[in-house]
Amino acid sequence: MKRLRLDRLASQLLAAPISPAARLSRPSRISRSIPQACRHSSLYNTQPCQRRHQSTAVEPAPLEEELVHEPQDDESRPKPLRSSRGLPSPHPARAASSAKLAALHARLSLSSKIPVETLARALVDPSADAHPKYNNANLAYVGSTVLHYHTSETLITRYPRLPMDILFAAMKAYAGNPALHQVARAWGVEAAAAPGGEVDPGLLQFDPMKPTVVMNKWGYVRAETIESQTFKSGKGISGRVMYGSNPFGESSAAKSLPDLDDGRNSKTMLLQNAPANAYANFVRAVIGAVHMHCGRDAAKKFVMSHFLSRTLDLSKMFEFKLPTRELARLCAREDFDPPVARLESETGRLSRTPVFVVGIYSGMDKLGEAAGPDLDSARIAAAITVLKSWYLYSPGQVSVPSDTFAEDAAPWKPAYVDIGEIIS
Amino acid sequence: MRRISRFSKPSGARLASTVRPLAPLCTTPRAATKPSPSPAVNTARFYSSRQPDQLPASLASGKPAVPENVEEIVVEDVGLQKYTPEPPQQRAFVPPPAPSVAEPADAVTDTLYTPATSAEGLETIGNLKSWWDNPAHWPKSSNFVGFKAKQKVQNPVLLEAAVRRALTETLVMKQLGQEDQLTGHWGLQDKAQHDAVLALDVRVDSDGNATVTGDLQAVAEGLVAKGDGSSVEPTYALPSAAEALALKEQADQSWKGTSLQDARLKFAVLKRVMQLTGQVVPDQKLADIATARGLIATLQKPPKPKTLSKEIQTKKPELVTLPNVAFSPKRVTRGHKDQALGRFKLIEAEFRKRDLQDGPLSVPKSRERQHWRGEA
Amino acid sequence: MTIRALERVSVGQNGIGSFILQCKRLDIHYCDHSGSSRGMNAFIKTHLPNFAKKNPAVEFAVSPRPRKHPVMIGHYINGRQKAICVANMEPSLILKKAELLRDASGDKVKRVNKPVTSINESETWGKDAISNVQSVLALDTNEDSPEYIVLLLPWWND
Repeated sequence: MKRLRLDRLASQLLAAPISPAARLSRPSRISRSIPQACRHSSLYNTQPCQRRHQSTAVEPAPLEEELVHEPQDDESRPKPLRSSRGLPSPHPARAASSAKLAALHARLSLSSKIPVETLARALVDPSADAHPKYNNANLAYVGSTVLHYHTSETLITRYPRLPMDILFAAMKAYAGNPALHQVARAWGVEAAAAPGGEVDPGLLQFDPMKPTVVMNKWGYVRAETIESQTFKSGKGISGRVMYGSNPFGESSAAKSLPDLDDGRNSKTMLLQNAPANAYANFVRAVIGAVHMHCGRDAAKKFVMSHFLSRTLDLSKMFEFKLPTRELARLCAREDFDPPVARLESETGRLSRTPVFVVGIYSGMDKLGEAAGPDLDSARIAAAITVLKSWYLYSPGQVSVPSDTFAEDAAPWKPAYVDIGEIIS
Repeated sequence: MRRISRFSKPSGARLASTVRPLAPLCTTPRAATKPSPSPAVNTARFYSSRQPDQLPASLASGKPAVPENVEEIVVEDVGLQKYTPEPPQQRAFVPPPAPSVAEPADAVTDTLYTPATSAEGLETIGNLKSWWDNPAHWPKSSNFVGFKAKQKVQNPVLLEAAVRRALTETLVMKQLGQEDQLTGHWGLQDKAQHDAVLALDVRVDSDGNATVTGDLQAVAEGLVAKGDGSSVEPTYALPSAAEALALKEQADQSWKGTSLQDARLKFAVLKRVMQLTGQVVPDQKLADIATARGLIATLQKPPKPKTLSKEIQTKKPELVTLPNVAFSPKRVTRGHKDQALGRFKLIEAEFRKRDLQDGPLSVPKSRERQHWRGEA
Repeated sequence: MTIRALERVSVGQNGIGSFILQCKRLDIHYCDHSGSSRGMNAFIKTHLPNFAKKNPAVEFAVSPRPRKHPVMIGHYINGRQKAICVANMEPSLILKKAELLRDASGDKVKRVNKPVTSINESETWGKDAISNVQSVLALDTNEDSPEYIVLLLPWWND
């Protein structure tokens, strides 16, 4: 998978005053009544500034100033979208007096190093408050990189032979929007009916009719990705590995950023599930807050306990097109004897429900077996069993690269990772 | 009637000896031997600390409104025509002018007069509907002024100072033999007189009987003289908290042992304390007060909080300060919940869209209250 | 591209990896004047500060409800509520009710007559398990004794 600059995860991204939101942003839901002032906000910066920030080493701003915004810098805020109703999101000073927020903080067993103001900020979606200093876009970005990093390293070391497709799907199953939405709901987070300054700061605030931010990039965007958009390449799995800028292998970045002034193509700009996106961004922002305030190890522990401890049956995620041929290629590649299917047993061949048990042998070794209602499907099922047992090989508990971050860690022993799928 | 007359008159009424008792109310209305100023409806306020010169002339004149002997009252039929309202400047309010009734149509002697058959073209002379809306008819100056101090004093040091002052003044009066003044109205004094009172030396013997030494006569004169209200009334009631604390530290504390077993003495002290501090000792506690110390303790005991929320805010602040506790002193309504969810503004917007609600959803607490206060 | 991934979402189980208390909010209502709230008012004064401090993960919303019986309402993460009327109860009993609400999961009360509840597929009835059983059968058929099979697998037929 792709290279990640861990040392720059936080400082670079949080320091740039406008860039994080700009780089992440893909305005996804456009209401026709966006005020003019809003269009010039940093949320709508387009791509050219993207690359400049990748290479610019920005002086990291002090953390506190960035995360906990003081009440007095109100004059630097842009005019709220709904000026008659006051602030677009609750004032940070109100966070300390919200019982809901305090209870959420305690429910997640967050460290006292994380102020409730940060948690309150994590609950404000960019669609509720477009100002990057008051919404969770930056925190969510940090959180998503941390989450994706730990998810991918865990999956790869635990299942070194996983095909890329399945790996992407597993990443999504652990760290995608639907999973994070479920996590947020299980944390007991409730959404406000509509965002606003008078709303309890302990409620998730988003507006489904306003543009928001979708976390569809991670790390940084390769220069080639932008090129690949021009040439429409990168449809295959290797292209997705190379150019797909989404951790789930989706080439959503390949879609050109929608032009705001051109409202004709609005269907592609609609976010399918705005609440799920908002909930997921909140979860990412909490991870980001843990990373920023409590450090790398605490963030890893948090990710492990809340996300990677979830149950996922990887064997149910496979769909094979040509399992028998793939098995034959596998045996050829690994210098096994060619596979042979043998009928182990059968019952009720002339009945309504016959059962055939077919075993697959390679030389004298039995690779696997399966039952089926006829000989052919039993043979295919047996081949699938064999392939799954190959792909889902796990060396057990092995160390992951992030274990070596500790000061007194043992030197890294390279983990075994297979060369990839058999027929790509 | 006899029972009441046995007590000397309450404070507001030095005029009291002249004021008729409540007899006219009990007897048949419109009963009077001579054209009396007005039946019971008037503005005389017995327990007001207002000076008598501000009272209606009819009451302050010293002329008995009702003869002492009730038996002599002759019931006579007094028609409405004989009702003569008082001059308005002496009332708490300005009553509307008396209605003038036109002659009946058949009694008109003018031959040119023809009764109207329709209201069209007739002159409109207005009505009384907006009379009470005019604040000029409810002058603030005529508001009731109570005997009790308006602000209830809760500061224990101030309460102690007030008790000492009241006790000293009472003892002065008693010692000078002016027993009837114990139930009289004592004016508020200026600071010099107040200091003079506190400067008097109170000695208490083993039985709790106290003797005051010093310039008693001046103090007594100061107290009674101000009651006449001939000059501008001084309003100095209590020293500041710091002064009171200094006085307390200087003074010998033995005066607190003064016995209050004498009912007249106790009444005078309580009355004066009530005037100075606004603190009224409830009847059930009166019997337990034997000494000045007991009185101070009774007064200093903070009142029981009326609601649980007040009690918790004062006595158990740790519950309110817990971050995960939301403590609401008032009922949490649907509106509050909607507001916290951000739904309230949506509802308002929908109402506005349908022209159902102009302005906020919240309704003022009581329209009736506004009417009571005479607000439009 | 002979393999296609089927999208799934990982399943979380509370208590594995992390535990989230299911009671997220406890509404506490009392009345200042009526006698049925006497125990509740005493509970708020004496027990609640300590109870709330010990349970920081629960949001306590205390508010008066004049002319009504005192009531405690637990709000749960699954969206359900559980209300207990605590009229005329002693403070210690109310504390027990509060603990009951805090410990509840918010689910409907249902009969649990199995020692283990699992989201994992049954070993006996899973797809792979069938093939294992079948292979056992295959071995057994060589011995040509159907009674033996019946004896071996009585639970399998049930």
